[in-house]
Amino acid sequence: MHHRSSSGSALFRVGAVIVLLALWSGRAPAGTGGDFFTLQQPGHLGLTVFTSGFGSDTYATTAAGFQLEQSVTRYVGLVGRVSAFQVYQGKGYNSPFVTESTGVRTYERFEGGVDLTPVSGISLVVLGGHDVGNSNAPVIEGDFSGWLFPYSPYPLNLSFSSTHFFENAVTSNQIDLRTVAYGTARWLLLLGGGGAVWGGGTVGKPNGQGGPDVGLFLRELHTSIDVQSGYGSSHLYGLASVSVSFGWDE
Amino acid sequence: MTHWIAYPHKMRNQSERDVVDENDEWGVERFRHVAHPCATAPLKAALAPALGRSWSLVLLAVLLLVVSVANSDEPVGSIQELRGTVEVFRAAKAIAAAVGIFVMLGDRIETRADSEVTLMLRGGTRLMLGEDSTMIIDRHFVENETHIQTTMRLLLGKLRSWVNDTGGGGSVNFEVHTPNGVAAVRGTDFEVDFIEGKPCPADPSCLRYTTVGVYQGVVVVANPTGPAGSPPVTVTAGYETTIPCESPPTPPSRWGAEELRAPGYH
Repeated sequence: MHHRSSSGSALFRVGAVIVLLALWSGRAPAGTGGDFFTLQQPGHLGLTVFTSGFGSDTYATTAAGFQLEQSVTRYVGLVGRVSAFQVYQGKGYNSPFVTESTGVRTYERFEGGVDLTPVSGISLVVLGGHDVGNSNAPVIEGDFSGWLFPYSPYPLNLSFSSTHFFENAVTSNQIDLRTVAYGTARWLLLLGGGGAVWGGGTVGKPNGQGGPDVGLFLRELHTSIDVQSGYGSSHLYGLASVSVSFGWDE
Repeated sequence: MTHWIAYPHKMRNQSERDVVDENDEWGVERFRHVAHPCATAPLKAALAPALGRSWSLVLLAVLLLVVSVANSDEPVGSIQELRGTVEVFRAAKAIAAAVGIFVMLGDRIETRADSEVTLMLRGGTRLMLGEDSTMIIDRHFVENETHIQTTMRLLLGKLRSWVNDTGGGGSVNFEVHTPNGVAAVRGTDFEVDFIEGKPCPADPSCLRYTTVGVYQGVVVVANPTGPAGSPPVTVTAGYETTIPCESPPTPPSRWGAEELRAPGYH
């Protein structure tokens, strides 16, 4: 019960951040008028395929999966996400296990929820689901992304993700702040910094890690490539991820 | 050598443009007129005193038709590449699109899903019409390969343009009109989208908007249906602007940044 409260608190903080960003960003408010519940016509189906890997001398894991998103109204969409995880050794920021892995452990995560777009350029995805495999317990997650100063040459992207693993009762939070450092019509280079803080449950006191981010977005291919390296509770680490998006109007 | 081909809505106040249906500027089926006012005005003046009013009107209409047909035969370019299903409508008749066929002034070119067509215009400008798109070339004037004036309408979908800048030795006036926007350029590579039925990112309550993204060069973008006095926006390479409904263009923003979300931790 305690862990549910901490996750709820994290989501509340995300909500507060959204309101602040809405005031800062200068974007058009999305919830004006009486059309909040009007179905979006035509609808839009989005598919994102992603893979990532994290490595340090104390923790190593890879993940891959896909996410489907179906628009419902202009401000609300339904999200389904399927992920497959492999943990090769140790414990780290996104490990749901109670004990450290000494061999390869695998599990799949099935999540569903909603994507809220209260303000153009800002999204909050709230998911709930269940792990199946070597981890076998519920999980809840909130992912936030928002842009500040979108009309400046260096717009800022703030992203925040919070996940609670019921398997080990740990809550993990990741945060990133990035800017478009350089861009052409075909690609954008993003630079920034970020990291993770996780604790509670079997981890106990908060652990942390952080370092600089470098991102490359290929606009015409709808492909994001992100790398991060840093230092923290998992010692020196490296993280790389790739995602590709597709979309269809219905 | 001068290839003139005049056109459309800018000349609608001329007396010679009476074949144009003035009730529907964007109704392409009705847009049939191809004539040059300078070519027909002397004829009209010379014939009027000699004939009765009704006969002169009939004769004038016949002459206009002849001139119109002659000018319609002047190709403005040709199809360079084609993929999928593309249709060319000329005088309300569909023509099978194929690589190499000429494109005439006033032709309506339509692409279907998973289709696109690339046109090479006289003077060296290249156009690529994306899938599910419709465009019409209203005006294309090339003089000595150095002075080029082009006006086209993008009725729906995506149009990318590589505008020949004539090597800096001439003048180029190239405009793409959408129902709520005008992008005017010289010597550049840019893309215009006109989207209907989807929420505009800059104003979700608006379901009809134009976006202009620039690959190279500079594009000046305005909304002629917007509030009087709203200034145009200058968009440089790597940036885009959006025109929601009858609002002015948004300030330029990094092209594609809105698609970005959180880095993948999953």
